[in-house]
Amino acid sequence: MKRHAWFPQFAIVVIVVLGIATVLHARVVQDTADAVRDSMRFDVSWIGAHGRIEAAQLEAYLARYAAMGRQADADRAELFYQILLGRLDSWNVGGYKEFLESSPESQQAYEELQRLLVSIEPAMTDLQQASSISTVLDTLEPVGAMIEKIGAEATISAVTKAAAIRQTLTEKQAIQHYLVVAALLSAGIMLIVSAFQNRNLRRAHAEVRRAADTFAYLAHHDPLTGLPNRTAFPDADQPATRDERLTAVVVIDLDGFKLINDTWGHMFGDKLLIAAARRLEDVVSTGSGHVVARLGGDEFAALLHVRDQSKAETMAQRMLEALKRPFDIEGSSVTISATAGIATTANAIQNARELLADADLAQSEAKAHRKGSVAIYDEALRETVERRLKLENDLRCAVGRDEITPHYQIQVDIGTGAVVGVEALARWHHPQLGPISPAEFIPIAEASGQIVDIGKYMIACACRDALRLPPDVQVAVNLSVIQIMQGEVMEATADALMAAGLPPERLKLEVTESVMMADAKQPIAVLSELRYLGVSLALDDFGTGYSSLSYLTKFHWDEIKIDRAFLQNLDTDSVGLSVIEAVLVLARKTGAKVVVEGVETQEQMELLRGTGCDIGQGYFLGKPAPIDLVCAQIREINPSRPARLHHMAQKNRHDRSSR
Amino acid sequence: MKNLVLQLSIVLLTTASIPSVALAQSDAVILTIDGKIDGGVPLDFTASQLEAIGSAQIATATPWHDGTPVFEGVPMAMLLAHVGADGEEADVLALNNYRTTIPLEDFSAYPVLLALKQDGEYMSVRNKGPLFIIYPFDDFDELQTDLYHARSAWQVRSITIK
Repeated sequence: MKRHAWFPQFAIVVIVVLGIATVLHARVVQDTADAVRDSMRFDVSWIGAHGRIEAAQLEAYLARYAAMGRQADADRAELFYQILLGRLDSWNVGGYKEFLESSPESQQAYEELQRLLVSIEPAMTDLQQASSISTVLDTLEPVGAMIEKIGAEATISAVTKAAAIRQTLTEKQAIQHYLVVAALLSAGIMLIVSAFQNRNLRRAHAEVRRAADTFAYLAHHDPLTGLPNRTAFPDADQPATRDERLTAVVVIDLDGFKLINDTWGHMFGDKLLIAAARRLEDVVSTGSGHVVARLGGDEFAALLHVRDQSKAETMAQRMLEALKRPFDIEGSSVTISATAGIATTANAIQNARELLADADLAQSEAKAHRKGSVAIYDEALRETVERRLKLENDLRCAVGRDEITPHYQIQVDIGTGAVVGVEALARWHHPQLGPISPAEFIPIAEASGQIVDIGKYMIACACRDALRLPPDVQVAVNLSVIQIMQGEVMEATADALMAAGLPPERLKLEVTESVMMADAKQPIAVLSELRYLGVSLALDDFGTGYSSLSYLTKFHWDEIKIDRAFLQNLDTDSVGLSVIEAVLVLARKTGAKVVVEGVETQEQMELLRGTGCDIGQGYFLGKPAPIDLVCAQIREINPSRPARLHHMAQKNRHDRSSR
Repeated sequence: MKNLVLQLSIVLLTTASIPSVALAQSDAVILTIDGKIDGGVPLDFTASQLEAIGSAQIATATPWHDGTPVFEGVPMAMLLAHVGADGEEADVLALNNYRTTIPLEDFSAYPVLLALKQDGEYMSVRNKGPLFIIYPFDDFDELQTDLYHARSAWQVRSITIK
């Protein structure tokens, strides 16, 4: 833009030049007109010439009168005398007078002429006398020459003046010429420069438009894959044909892409994304009006127009299959899977963004439960998700509002039937939704990180409540993997024990085997610290998941809890029992007690007693209940033990420790 | 309409100028008009006859006078209407044999006067009389050129309509 900044100044200069030229030209035209007017003034030489003729006429008539004596000639002579006198008078005014005044010689001649003509007046009135005529003729003799002389002077003066006027005219015309040329030149330059300027403006305009197009493209496209981006996606709606009455959005997320990115590097990851984008395009572009976009990261979306929902599902499956074929990138072959979510609508005007959100939701659900699958969004899914979101939201304040409370389920020595422990189970009573099962809210709490606070709270409650139980009854609390990985569990546990004044050996922390699955080094370090603190540690839910036997050897567990699944068909299927027996053997070797969960019948109890299992837990033995009920339950089962006494003793100890 | 106004003013002026006939210097013929006029016979006019046709005044400077004299005489348009002039131009001949040709349009375009008097006095031959064609130079700038100066004949003796 800067290079054009001179143009306005230039234009102003040209306009000023044009203005000056115009004004000057007008002035010169006026001057010229004045000069022309001067040139048209009464011709002084001409009036002089007439005087000469008139004088000659006077002489001629006088001579005729003298020769022939006719009165008519005398009258004519008199007439011409008057005419001549009039002529002389007229020389004494206006232009002729100016001339005379400018020429002393002519002035002198004029005065002489006048003197001569006046001197013959008496003779002119008395022409009958011959002497008069001769006197007049004598007197008039030099008049002709004198008039000639004045006439000649006047002619020279007139010619000189005419020459001067012509000169002026020529000069003015030259100036006019130059001014016109200057005006034309500046106007011409102005035109040329304007043309250039226009061209530059056109170019600048074109540039701006190109830039705007580029920006618009960039704003609506993913620079990596060249696909439309999230912003452009809702605009991608195309008119559906009559057959394809459904609009479907498929959201596809690559599984484990982060791992590939971390392992192979971002360059590799980018190439994989580009290749994946091309494959998705190949699948989707087979239909008209279909669009594939990259929403960001490893997330893609396709807008489809389909006949029915099953067609959309087929398309989604084909996209996932296309992605499953190995990718050949930088000489390496990589395979990756993807998870898809579908949302469809028959309403053409439904916001594509909403559809996208729904499909995204379905995709997330599919990812959470079954990677590599296709999930279709429906109302139930929305309700599930909305309920989960509400729970996640309300969970933040649940602890603070005392909505979460521990219930305890007794654990019974299978041999003696005595209560040896209780397991604390979190119960959430939602103010609107009522009781929420731990199976529902614990995963939510784990996902949102709330589990750390809930876990801390549960340990604190358990330590406090344990004081109300007989001293030989342990309190077990579940520890989440998240709590262990966060690393605060040691301090939380120590604080809770200290606050309640509970001996550490009365607290038992239960950990699921998933803790050991990934990198076991950190969990083992944490567990070791807890053991050092003096609390017991149990391996929970053993037998589910991967159940590597190595978990039993990597850490010295105080207790192994066999999952309730092995008790389900114990009466008909003896394999479950065999597993329990096998675990029992292993546990004995490591010095761990074996707890079996899910005891619901007398038969199960009997069978377990036969195997030599240590402890049982389940509805048959006792349902989870609030601490007061559990206390009563224990008093009933263990009547020989004065729980109250123990309780008081514990309380005293607590009072001492808190001093 | 224009003609009507013209004729009306002629009547009025004629009536008004009756006493001036007595004031005329003499009854000598001072103007002859011939050529394409009514009857085709040359017409002679004395000063009083001319004054009887009509009268008007023009105050104007000329190249031949000092100051701004007031001229009085018969308007050329009236005079030509009076004689029924039917031509293109008027050949004017003066006593000093000066000759000039005037297009008749001049007389309709400008109130040209065949003046008899200057500042109330009849003009003598010495003072460019007895008849002087006077254009209203001061009222029309375009008249101040030697073309009209040349048409402005003095000591007029005769007019030939052609």
